[in-house]
Amino acid sequence: MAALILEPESGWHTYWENPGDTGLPTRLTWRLMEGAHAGEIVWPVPERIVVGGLVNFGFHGKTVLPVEISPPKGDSGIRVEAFTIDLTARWLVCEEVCIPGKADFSLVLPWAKAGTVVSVDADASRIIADALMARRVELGDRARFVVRGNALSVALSTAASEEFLTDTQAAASLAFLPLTPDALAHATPASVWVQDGELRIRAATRVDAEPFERLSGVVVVSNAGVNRQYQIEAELDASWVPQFTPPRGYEESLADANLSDGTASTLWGASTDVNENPSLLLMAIFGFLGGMILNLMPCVFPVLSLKVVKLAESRGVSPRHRRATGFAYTAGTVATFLGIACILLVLRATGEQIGWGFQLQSPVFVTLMAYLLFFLGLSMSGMFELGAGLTRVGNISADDSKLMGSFATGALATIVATPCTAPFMGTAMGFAVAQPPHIALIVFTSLGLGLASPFLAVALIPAMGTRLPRPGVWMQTLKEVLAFPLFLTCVWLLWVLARQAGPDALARALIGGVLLGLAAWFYRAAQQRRMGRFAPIGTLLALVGALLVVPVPPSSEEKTLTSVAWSEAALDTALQDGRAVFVNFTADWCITCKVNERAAIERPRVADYFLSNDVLYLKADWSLSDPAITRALAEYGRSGVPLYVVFRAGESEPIFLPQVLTPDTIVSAFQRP
Amino acid sequence: MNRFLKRVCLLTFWSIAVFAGATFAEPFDLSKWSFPDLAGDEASLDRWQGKILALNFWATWCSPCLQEMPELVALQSAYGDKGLQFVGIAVETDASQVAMMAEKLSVNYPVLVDEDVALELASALGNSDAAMPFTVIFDRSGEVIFHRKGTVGFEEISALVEPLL
Repeated sequence: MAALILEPESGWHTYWENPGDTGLPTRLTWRLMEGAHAGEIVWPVPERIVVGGLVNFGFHGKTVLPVEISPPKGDSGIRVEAFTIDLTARWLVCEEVCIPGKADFSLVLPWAKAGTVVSVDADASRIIADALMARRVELGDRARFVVRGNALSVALSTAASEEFLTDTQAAASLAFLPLTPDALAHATPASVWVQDGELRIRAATRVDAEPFERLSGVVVVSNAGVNRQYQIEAELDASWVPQFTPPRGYEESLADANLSDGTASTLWGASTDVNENPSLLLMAIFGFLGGMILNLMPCVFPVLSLKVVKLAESRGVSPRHRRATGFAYTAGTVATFLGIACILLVLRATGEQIGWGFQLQSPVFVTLMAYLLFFLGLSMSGMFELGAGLTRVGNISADDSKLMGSFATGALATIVATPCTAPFMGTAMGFAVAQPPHIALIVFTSLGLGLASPFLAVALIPAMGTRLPRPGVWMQTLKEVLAFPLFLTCVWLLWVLARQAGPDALARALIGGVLLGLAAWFYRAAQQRRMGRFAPIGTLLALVGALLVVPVPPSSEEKTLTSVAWSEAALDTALQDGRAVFVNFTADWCITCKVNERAAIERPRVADYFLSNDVLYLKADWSLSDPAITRALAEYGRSGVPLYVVFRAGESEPIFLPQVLTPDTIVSAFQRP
Repeated sequence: MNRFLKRVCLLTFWSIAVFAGATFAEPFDLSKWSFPDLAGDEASLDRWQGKILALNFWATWCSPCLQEMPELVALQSAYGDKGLQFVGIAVETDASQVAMMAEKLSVNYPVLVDEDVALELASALGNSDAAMPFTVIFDRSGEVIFHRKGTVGFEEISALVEPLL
């Protein structure tokens, strides 16, 4: 067996045997010696990739394409030293751009007597063997199909093979991918279900499809995270009138062909990762190294240096105590990493589709992270002293508090490290979580150890104790300077937030930041014993305020009011058609406008009314200068925003609403007295 | 920074500037390039001299290309009579497939079909890995004013082209 491995960069994909609506499948051209043959590519299970209404089948990430190579049989009288395999591979890799690719490869394998093993490349064998586990099982020519209108129906007895029977009975999900090109409308995924001992498929044919007599395709059966492919061939049975009705859910999905743009979705169950059995030691080592590198990240480095600074302060402390501090810190990092790993594993087990970095997909998490880092940064800038308060909590003795403090610092270092891991270690950690639980736990433990290692080294090695620099002004300067990497990380997180949830969410997070600054100021005042009771109360209030403004994704049940961009033409057409129209002249910098939008216009009552009475909502956005809108405003006798104009159905006289709106004002304006 | 290093930097800077200038400052000679259109007739690219010529390299198997085409069609209908001319170059060998796709997308500008020579032209214009879509815009005197490996949008091309019409 030989295999071609394609590893496109993140976000890019190559295509399957049937590329779908567009695309070109990967093509292999072999040049072998006489008598030798190369088989077809053993394709892995593809993903459905939807971009803007076009559906393709392809692969993201590492893709292994095995091919069986058969050398010439017997003694063909050829005397050569070695068996040379030449390959020209052509593929198309796309993301937002498509780049055709081509490469030449050559493999030279030595001849040997039958039965002897010359050498084994363990890695290659394993990669190919794993890829072959997902090879298609051919069920042969037993299915029938018919097309009535544009509905394709296929039926196949589940007893086609023992394996197929057991597989389909226990299946978590089923899917059908056509191999016959240009036959099916790929936009609507085929509905596949098992009923009355048959596997049944319903799909839509392409509008411009030529009539076809044979249909071949792949049935993907997903079971406990493993996908198996069965290739079926169906023959046209023109006399067949299918009597089956898809169960509920399938009928709905057939009718409702809504696909969102730009999503690459793996349809079939959980990960399609082939279960490699990595060397545990290697994984642990990589985890350890990764953890060590984490110390250099802008999120973690400041925290680490804080710790080192504290160590420097404790030069007189006994070596035993220093060692204990080191262990406490390590315990903190390892425990927190394990905690995170457990959460991820539990979530994965309950079926959530998560990879590492999933926590960054939640605007709430991103905002809270940004808050945490900002707060830490403020502390390091010298605005207030964090940690001083911890010793005062309860009557903890100095020694204990130091150990608890070290544990807490370790935990803190891990928590602030998580946003920094996503950009650089996302793939590695996602891979780790996809492995069996014991492997994931080992990797995360070694990550924790790696993260703690520099500090642990300083704490354990006695010689380091004396080498530590004397405490001095440098400590203060270092702390203050290191606040800046933390602030930069905040900026990055806020950028992510803005892209995820828009400028409004960003504004809320920034307000939260201001409130945090206020909280920090109150906290410092409390530490300096100024302002009496106000200080701690103020801190608390400001913190609560910051939490309240955390942007929360809107519930999808709210009916959203859709607006159309205003133009003279749109207004005229609507008036000619006798439609009722609501025109909102607004601008982003106009606070009254935004308040009215939030409080009055974008409310369910108004949305309902507009929907049920076919009211056209025109929005004239004057945020940037627009001569057409300026003219319109002047025509209505105004020179600024906001301006609300109502046209009742069938009337062309504008009715002006007051500058302060309520939902009632809007709705009643449309109703004739 | 010592003087030697300064000199090296300066030299590098000027070499890059001269090279970049040389590549694009002079008008690109389009008369040497011609491709068959959908009807099979040869069309030389200097036929549209004097217009603002936008060459769009695409292919029927390239989904980003198909997605951006409606925007190109919109640009052509908005600015075609003011001097903007889009010309599609389909990097393919089967003209009938291209014709079908062009009709499906209501393409309102000439489409030429060629594979090998088209790729040479793309390479000469700075796209040597055949990335698609690839759009190059020439001003009325034939100088390249825009080139991108990737999709373009209505707004940005509008903004670029309007001052020149």
